[in-house]
Amino acid sequence: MDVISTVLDIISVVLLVIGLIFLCLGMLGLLRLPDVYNRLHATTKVATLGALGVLLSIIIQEGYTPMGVKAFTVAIFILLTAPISGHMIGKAAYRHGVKLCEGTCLDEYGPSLGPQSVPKKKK
Amino acid sequence: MITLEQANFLALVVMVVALVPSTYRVLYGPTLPDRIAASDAVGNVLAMIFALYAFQGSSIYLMDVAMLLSIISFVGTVIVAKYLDTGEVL
Repeated sequence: MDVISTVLDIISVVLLVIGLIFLCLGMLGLLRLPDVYNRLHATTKVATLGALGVLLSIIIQEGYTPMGVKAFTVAIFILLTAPISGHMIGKAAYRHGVKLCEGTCLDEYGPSLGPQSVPKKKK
Repeated sequence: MITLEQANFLALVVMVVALVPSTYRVLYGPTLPDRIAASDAVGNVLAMIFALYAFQGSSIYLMDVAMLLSIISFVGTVIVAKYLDTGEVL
């Protein structure tokens, strides 16, 4: 029984450290990357993998208790909604007119968009 | 050898320090989508902080705060992105 508790503690701390590593790398990327789209890569990883690691460590520690179930709900919600918000920010940034950075070698979204498909802003 | 409570406290310290670059990006971001992405990251990191603090203090109701912060962050981000995209909210 004691061995199982120790193993669960070790797994929990390892998941917490994985989440914190993703958090620190994402914040470094948010600070240093040259472009909106590159920064969106970093922040979406913070939202999905960082939060999922931290909340999974809480779930493993708590088990089937009310706090564990709430942490599971938060983890599922963040896992579902963070890619949606990242995608919407990227699309809005492109159609708002934010330029790509200097080192960009391929842009497939712009020619596929076409000049006519951009909706005109209502006045 | 550190205990689990000390590990959680160190994790909370790291998360609060990680709020600094995103706050810098919110304040001095070159374009508007930068600020939106950074404020989304701030909301998610705050939700993580509240979840871990609720676990450390063993208070069930602070976990509701984490849930609410993630929901409000997602809805606000989607609304502002939609406004930037089409020029209208709904």
